Amino acid sequence: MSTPPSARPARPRWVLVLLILPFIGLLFPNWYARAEPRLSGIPFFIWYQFAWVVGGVAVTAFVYFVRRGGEDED
Amino acid sequence: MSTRWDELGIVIGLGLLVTAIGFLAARWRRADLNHLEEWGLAGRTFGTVVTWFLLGGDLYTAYTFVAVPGLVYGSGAFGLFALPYTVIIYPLVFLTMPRLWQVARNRGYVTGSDYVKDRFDSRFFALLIALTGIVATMPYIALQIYGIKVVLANMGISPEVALIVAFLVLAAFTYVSGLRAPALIALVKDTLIWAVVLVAIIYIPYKLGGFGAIFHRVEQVSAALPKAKAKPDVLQPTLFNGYATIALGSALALFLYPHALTGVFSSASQKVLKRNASFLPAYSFMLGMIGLLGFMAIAAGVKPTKAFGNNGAIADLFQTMFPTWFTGVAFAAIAIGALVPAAVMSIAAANLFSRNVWREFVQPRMSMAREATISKVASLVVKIGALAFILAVPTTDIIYFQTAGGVWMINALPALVIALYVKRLDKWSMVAGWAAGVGLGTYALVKVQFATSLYDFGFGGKVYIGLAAIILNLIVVSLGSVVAALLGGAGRDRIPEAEYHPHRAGDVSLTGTRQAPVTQPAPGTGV
Repeated sequence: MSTPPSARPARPRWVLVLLILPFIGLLFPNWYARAEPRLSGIPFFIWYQFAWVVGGVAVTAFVYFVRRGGEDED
Repeated sequence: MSTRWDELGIVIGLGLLVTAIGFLAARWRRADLNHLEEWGLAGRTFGTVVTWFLLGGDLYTAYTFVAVPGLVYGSGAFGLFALPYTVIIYPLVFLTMPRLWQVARNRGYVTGSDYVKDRFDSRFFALLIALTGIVATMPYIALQIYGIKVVLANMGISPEVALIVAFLVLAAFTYVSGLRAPALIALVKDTLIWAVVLVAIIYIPYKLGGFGAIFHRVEQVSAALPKAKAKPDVLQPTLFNGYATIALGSALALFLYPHALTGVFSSASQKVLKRNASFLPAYSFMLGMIGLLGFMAIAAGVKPTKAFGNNGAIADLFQTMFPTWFTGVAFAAIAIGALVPAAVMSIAAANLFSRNVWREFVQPRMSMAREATISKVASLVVKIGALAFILAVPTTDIIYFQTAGGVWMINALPALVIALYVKRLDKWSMVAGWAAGVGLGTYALVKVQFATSLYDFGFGGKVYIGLAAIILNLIVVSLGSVVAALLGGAGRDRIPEAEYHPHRAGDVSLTGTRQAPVTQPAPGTGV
């Protein structure tokens, strides 16, 4: 909390770009609105979106861990 | 239908437990509840775990649990837009909410409109945003009561008396305990909901012969229906743009709602919010599974109910599939699930009223205790209003109001989020943008008679009205601000940049410029 600026770990800004991935993955339904391949009977359209819930968690958590401990966290 | 006493007994038992927790919450992290930051924000002390339960319980509402499977049951794949919506929202939360939280913490804001007032030095613009929030929240609270109503009616008891009792109890413990009550009750609510959903998603497919059989049956049913009424399990091309725009628009709007901001402001640090942006999607997974229950209802041959139409599907499915005692647990989960968001929403609307209406325009020099009292009384009025609303107005109309609420609420995006980053926003362009967005949104809603939130504006087919509204809003704000800058009247942020960052030792001079004192949490109340 009271660490002087010079001693703080660098927080790479580029990783923030990764946060756009869920938008690309989900906002173009023409890419994933199909039934095949199914996953234990579940149409691709449905299980693909469930997979993105996990993907979204992975992306956000990764960005958090890479950037944690920066100046804005007290 | 005869009264189902075994289901009812479980619901009443769990209801009593929750009531006790609601009143005892006043003693949790004990502090002076005659202070708005304590009553309305629980002293901004909630850590990662409590915030996860509170925001999860607050954002994923009982109405959602009824309406999402209802929509899937009624129209198939389109209803699953709740999934992309609640995935893409969290990168947005991760990026923006910590900054809003920090400036709110540094300058003692209790509502989003407190920020708007300070940022633009305009109590009228703040009032506009506050009223948008209150108007959008009222039908949302009413729909929580609707969630309870669906459950009560399925147990064969007359909902009116039970609803009034449930809401009086809710009103009483919210008045006494403030935000601490829904935060503690959220633990019970979320535990019950998780248990019910996990059992449902395993047990019901087991009874119906597996997911393969369920979707096979859905496809058969859908193929037998006329094209306009089909319930496809894969999104149809005509709805691609509608699906993407409603997911994006809903994601942009959700964290502008007063009840979402109350949850954000009550957390203890930026870190808490960032962690929650990473872990709250667990609830999105759950919501998706609840959406799948709509397909299971189609496969199980559930019929739309007379009283609730497609929204009765999930309650019917539970009664068809589960033993009665577990149906009781599931119904209790939905009913208790309604209490958490209803409490937070009423607190949030009440805070807007006391801070941005009453203090600004009626009684500027009131004491802290008086401010808290105004909020408490307002929270009662809001809940009684919502109850009267649901008993007097046809439910379909309330659902229309809620749709409209989202279209209006998204127009607070420039004031509450863009303003965090762009300094040179012109105040009057902001007001004009709001008016243009709300105007266009309302016009399109009237055109479709409030029956849907999609409209064909002439390009891209049917798209989400709210997204069109916010695009127009942003265009007006940008052009207006550029023109204002060229005329020499560039807007500026009244709040120093340092206020958007944690205060450091020696920076105390920064706190001297605000109108209400910054409240630090009392020693010993930390996470």
